[in-house]
Amino acid sequence: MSCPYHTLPASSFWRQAVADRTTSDLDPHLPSGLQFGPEQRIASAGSCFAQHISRALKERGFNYYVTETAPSYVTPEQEERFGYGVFSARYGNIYTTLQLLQLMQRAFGGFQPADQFWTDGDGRVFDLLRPRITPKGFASSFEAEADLKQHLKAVRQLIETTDVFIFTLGLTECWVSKLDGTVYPTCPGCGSAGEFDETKYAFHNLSVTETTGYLAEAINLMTAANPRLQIILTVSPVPLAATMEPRHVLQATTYSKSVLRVAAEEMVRRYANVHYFASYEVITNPKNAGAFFAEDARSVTPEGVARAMQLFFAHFTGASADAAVPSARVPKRPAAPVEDPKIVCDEDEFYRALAASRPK
Amino acid sequence: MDTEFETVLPVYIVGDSHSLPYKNMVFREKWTGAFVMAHTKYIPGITAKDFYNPATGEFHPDFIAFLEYEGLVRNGRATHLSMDEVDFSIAKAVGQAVRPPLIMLTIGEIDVRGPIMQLLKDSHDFVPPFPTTLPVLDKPLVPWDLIDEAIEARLRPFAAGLEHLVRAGFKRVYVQSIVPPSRQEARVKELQSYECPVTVRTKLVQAYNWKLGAKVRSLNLVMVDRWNDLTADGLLRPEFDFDGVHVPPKGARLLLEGLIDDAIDSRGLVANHPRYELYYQMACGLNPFQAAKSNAT
Repeated sequence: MSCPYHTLPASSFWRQAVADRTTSDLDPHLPSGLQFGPEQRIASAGSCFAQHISRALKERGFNYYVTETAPSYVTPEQEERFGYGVFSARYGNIYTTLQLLQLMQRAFGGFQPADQFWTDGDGRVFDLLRPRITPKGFASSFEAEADLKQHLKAVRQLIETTDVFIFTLGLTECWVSKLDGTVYPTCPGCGSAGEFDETKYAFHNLSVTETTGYLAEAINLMTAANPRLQIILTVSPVPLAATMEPRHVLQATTYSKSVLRVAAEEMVRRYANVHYFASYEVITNPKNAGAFFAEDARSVTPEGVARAMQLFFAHFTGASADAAVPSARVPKRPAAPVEDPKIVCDEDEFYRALAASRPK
Repeated sequence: MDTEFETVLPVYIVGDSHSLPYKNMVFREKWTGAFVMAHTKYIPGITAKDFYNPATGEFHPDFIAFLEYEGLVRNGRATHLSMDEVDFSIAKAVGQAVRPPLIMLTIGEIDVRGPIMQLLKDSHDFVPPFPTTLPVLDKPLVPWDLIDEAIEARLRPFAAGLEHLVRAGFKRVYVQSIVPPSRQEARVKELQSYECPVTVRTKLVQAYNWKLGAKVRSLNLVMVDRWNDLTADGLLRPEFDFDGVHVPPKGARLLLEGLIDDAIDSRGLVANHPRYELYYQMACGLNPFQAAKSNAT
């Protein structure tokens, strides 16, 4: 019998699949079992990086499905400021699998957080689970609660009626309520709404078992609500802005991304309707030597985003991966991190606020 | 036999089509029995946004034309404050009030019914920041801050115009609140080409009035508001629904009586001392416009 490796395609071998490839034609993906077209409804959620996917879907004329739509007659600037169309519903960034699970549990009636709203000194009310959805908070508790009711209704409608749901896993580190385990997108009181209180909030870094278990539970809930739902998982390549673990942020990032990558893999193995898109590998592969990161070694460059999106559409829609895009000309690192003002990122806001609040 | 003409208290009512129900309105006010007469000017399509241009400091030309026609403004100045001999003679001849004239603006309903209501249409509702008996429908909500921004964008130029009027000496300017909207859904659809539930429309008018009232009060002016008299169960009483947009003359009369009540109550606050002085000198047989004799002989 011949060695089984002889039957494998070129993509299985590092030399042919990576070492002999140029950065611009390296594609860490095999043909996908899922294809969608402009007629399918595509929804998305996840970390800041996930916003690139929603934008790319809209820009390329796909049916980016939004169930919590902006009222007519508002400007694009207002839409963005109030979180309309950033994702398929106004849930803001969802960084952890526990956050996704609790959103589904809240939408489908199983969970009601004990500590969700916070009122600032001006009487404005903030939803701590989506702290940037109204820039100045809600005018009253009544408005905040009424809006939440409609939001969760929109999430239910989204899950029940979308064809594809794309979720980008972002973090394992999170802050939870000591009252009932509610997980927040950011640490309350750190750069966004809320007031930090160590008697109320605790840091938690999800284990691989927790991350995988919560994701599986979320997928079960979503699939129960919509049995024909197809799910695409991706892992954000963006490193942690900061870690609360008593170790180097680089180690913390490796841990976090490893856990998320394992969780995604577990789901693909476990569920026939779950697929993986290798955005993490597209951006971080060693052949690139960090070329898709800006000078801060954290922000993904527009070329990196373009390359990831090019491959995403090539594998899931059949669009040509050879289409000329900026990724074909990978430049040296730009002199300064490229800021994209259209990406709403709680983590970045937290970091900015933290820097601003440090004593000089 | 000679007929003794009684003095008449004129009220100058100018604005969009909501000024029309006041046309030719004359009645005796209940406190002094004096006649009140409405002088009206309908400016088709005028909105709060185009009433005044803060960038240029110019009012809607039809508004200024009306003030000039009524003799309230001449050469770009309020005539009731003028010490000019011509202005004074005219004022004396026509019995013009010594106090600032009573002016009421009926502007803003087009703003509400037009661009602001389009935020909501039949698809959305909102929660206002003030108490209301009207329900929140099971519809997606437009954040109050977006409604607030939309109203503010229309009201800001209007409020700047009011401020300009006050600075020019028109201290008895009243602003009619937007009247409660019609319950006739079909009529609204006919006018707007889209539907918007009456509770949402009514809340929106309440919200506009809430902000309008605050701005008007901040300028020491008064918003004429008879909401409670015009509504039942939070909505417009059918007898005050003239045509799906306007109140009938009896509704307008209610509002105008509200203005008169306030004007009579606050008469002492708007004394025009320079003009009183001129009248006083004339009553004493002096010619106030004659140059004072020099004491130096």
